[in-house]
Amino acid sequence: MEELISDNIYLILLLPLWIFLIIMLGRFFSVYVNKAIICGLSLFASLSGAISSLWLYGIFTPDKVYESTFPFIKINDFIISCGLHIDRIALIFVSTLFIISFLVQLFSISYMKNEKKEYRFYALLNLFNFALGSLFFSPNLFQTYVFWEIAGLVSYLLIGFDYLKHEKSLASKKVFLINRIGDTAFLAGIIMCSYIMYEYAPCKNLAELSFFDMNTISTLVSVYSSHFLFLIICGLFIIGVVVKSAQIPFYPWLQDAMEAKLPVSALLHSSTLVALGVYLIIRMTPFLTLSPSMLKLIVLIGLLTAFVCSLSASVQSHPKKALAYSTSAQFGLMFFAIGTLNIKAGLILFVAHALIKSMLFLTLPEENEKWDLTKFIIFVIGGLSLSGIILSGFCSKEIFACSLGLRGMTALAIISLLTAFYISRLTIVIMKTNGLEKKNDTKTEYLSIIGLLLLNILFCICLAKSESCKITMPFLTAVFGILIVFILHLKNLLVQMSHTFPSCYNGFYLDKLYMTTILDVYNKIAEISAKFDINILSNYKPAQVLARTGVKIASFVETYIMNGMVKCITVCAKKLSTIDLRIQTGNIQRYNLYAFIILTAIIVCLVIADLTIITGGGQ
Amino acid sequence: MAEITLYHYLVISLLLFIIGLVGSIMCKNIIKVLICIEFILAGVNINFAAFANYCGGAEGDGFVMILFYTGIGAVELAVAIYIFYFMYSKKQTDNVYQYGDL
Repeated sequence: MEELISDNIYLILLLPLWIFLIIMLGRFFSVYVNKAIICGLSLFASLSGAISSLWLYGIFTPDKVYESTFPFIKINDFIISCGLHIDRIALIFVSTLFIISFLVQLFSISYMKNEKKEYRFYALLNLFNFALGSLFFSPNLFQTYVFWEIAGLVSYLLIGFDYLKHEKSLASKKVFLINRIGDTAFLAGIIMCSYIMYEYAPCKNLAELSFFDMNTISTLVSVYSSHFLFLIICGLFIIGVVVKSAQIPFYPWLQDAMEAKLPVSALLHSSTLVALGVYLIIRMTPFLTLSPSMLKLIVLIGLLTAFVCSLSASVQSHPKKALAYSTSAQFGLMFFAIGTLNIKAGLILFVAHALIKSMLFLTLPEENEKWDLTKFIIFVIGGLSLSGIILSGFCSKEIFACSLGLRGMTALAIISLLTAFYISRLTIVIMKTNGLEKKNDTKTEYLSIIGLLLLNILFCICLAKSESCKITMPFLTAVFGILIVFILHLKNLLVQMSHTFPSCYNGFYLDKLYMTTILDVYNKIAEISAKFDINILSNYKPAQVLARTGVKIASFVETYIMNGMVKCITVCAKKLSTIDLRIQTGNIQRYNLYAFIILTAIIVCLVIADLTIITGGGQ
Repeated sequence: MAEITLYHYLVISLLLFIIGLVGSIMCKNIIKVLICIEFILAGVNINFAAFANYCGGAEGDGFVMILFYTGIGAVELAVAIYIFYFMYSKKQTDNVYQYGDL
């Protein structure tokens, strides 16, 4: 049974791809007209993925690794293989992905009902599932990189789903461009690693950077390269990770990504796309363990992000932006956990955060609409859970806190205080601006939100059973934070906070800094090159002569060679068609003659072949 | 006077076949075409008979095949004449070149 599943596990990855193709190609067969088929197919794909990956997680023992690969690119003795590499870490990520994606699709059935071209949304979600699933199951860094790019592209398309609205398309462009920095750094790291392995390692198989022997690779890289080079390689990987997870120097892109639709932000920017960074850093831990300074850097980045983004989140007036800052902050905590080499706590934090944050996103009210009472209650539960007072948030934070020393505990307690502060403030602000209302309509939205709540409780029970949870400092500070919010609320100080702390509100001007510096530099370069062109190049004789001869050569090639080739093709086609026309007379006897000639030719050929075989056999 | 061997029969059948082929391709008159097709069949039949007589055993498979072929020829002739009759009544001509447009 186990082998049957692990041999067919690629099906849960291919199913979303097939559905993507069916929906996108279905335009020609008008499949997309029938929404029931589309929704049913994509729900089925993600549900089957979730069930089978969870089942496999139950079967797999912690140390078991299932790997099946085949060579994909061969350049002399440098082979890049592709295939599947399944272990518990990958299964945790994949099952979280498919569960969240299933519930989000359930949510969007009623949410996206009135959208135009909604079939495109489902198709892209399926492609996204495929890309991320393949990324989490990929056996080496090269395949990871390929699917990393696909995930970036699909996130661009999903954020710019309403591409006709100007600000949305701008936001998606910005997200894509900032992500490119990380992608480039990641690719550079891969290439450097692979080069060192290929040149110096005793075994050429190591050059494909398989996760299976990452320990060997990291030691070999640290041996064969100088200390400085090793730090550079680690730094490149860390840049790639930090950009994807929206950590400190690069977090502004996550706030722009909030232009997306609610389900899209719930899926992409709470649990899956941002999780890529955490996934990669967990895979690269062998590298980090070899350089303690890099571990310290990651802890620093994580803590600083958590602190700064929590501060920014606590003064935001726009709910989605506040949640975006909160996502950055929570991922900062995960980085903190991984930086202290507590990978288990990092994974628990990740799963808990994914469940809670998608719940929070899905329960947000529409702008200028009253807040539904059931949604409000679930949002409050989610908020309390996020700040670490009840449910899985509590469990995960306490498990993490138990493993820390006094200093780490203090840092976590401060962040926990801020978390409780911003989430409860956000609840009160939304309640004040939108107002509460009880609605009584049956929608699939409620189904998915309640499903998320149930999963949250289930995860909490699982955690409580396996680990012992003690009440520690973060819990107390979180309660304290909520108390502060209540006091401030009684004094009516909450709403105007965004005006009293402008630097926090603007995310400490990081975004503005990038815009101004990069735009300035770009404009300066453009100006200088324009001056160079106008003043120097246009007056310089040899350059003019060169340009003129170039134009002449180009026009010669254009008129005589390229046109000649095109003409040749058309003339040939015309000649062939006239010959063909002459053959087709419509006269039966002609056709008879052709048939006879062809038959005779075939028979003659057969006879000659037969004779040669006979004589050949005789010799 | 030399004995009549298998090759004489084969040459005759080949001649008949070629006459039939060329005639069925070249002739304009529809009846002539039909007759030439019969020539082809006759050539093939002679071939069968010759082989049955000279090479075959006592079972006479070749002669049975000739019976079949004669039957096929008769049926084909009947069908063809019926079709040609219709074509003639439609086109008012017996020239095959006029039948090109089906």
